[in-house]
Amino acid sequence: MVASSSVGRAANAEPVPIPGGAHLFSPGPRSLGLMGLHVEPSSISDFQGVVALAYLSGSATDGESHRYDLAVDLRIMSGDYVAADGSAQTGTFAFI
Amino acid sequence: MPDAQITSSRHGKELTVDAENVAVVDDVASPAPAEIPAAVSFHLTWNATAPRHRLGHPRTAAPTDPAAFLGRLAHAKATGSFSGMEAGFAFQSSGKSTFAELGTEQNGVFLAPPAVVVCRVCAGRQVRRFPVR
Repeated sequence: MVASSSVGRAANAEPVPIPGGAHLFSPGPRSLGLMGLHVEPSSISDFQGVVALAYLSGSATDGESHRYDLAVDLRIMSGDYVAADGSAQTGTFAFI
Repeated sequence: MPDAQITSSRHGKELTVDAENVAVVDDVASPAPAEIPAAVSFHLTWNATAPRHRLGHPRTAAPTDPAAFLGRLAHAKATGSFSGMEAGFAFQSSGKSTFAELGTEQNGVFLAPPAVVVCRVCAGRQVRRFPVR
């Protein structure tokens, strides 16, 4: 899931993803099966700003009261970026 | 996230994000690729639990390398709630993080050495400008 502050913004002013195609990396301790600490947490490129990442565990309940284990990968990126059209922009984005 | 409220405190060691009914697109890969409209709400707080460390290898890593960034990140704990609705399916959860980090980073063009340009308006003073494609 992707959320952005792109309401009213031209589509080509959207940020560009990190190089390498549609993907993102998984920073975190190798002991947890993650890729290590020197690993890019952002899902967007040409970006500078605040970044926050959390892997959350818990339980979830659906509309019919069935319970599930829940794992959430949630990332916040807030700051300056260069958009697909080359313009300088500021915005806040989340990857969930 | 136009409806999100982001608050930073403790000199950047704490970050709170409150987002209510944010419209998102769920990229579903299975059983067939699809983009499904959804809405999520989350109220999360990150608290740094250690000093920030400089991470990434911005000068030596290839652009597609996972280390192609410059981060100043601290390990953190994240706590809060998360809920969502999508195509007749609703879920909610409260939880804590198995791993979290918080800080600042730069990547892409912001890793390039800033260009030195002469600013005519500034009486010829040199200014530094990051490249913009």
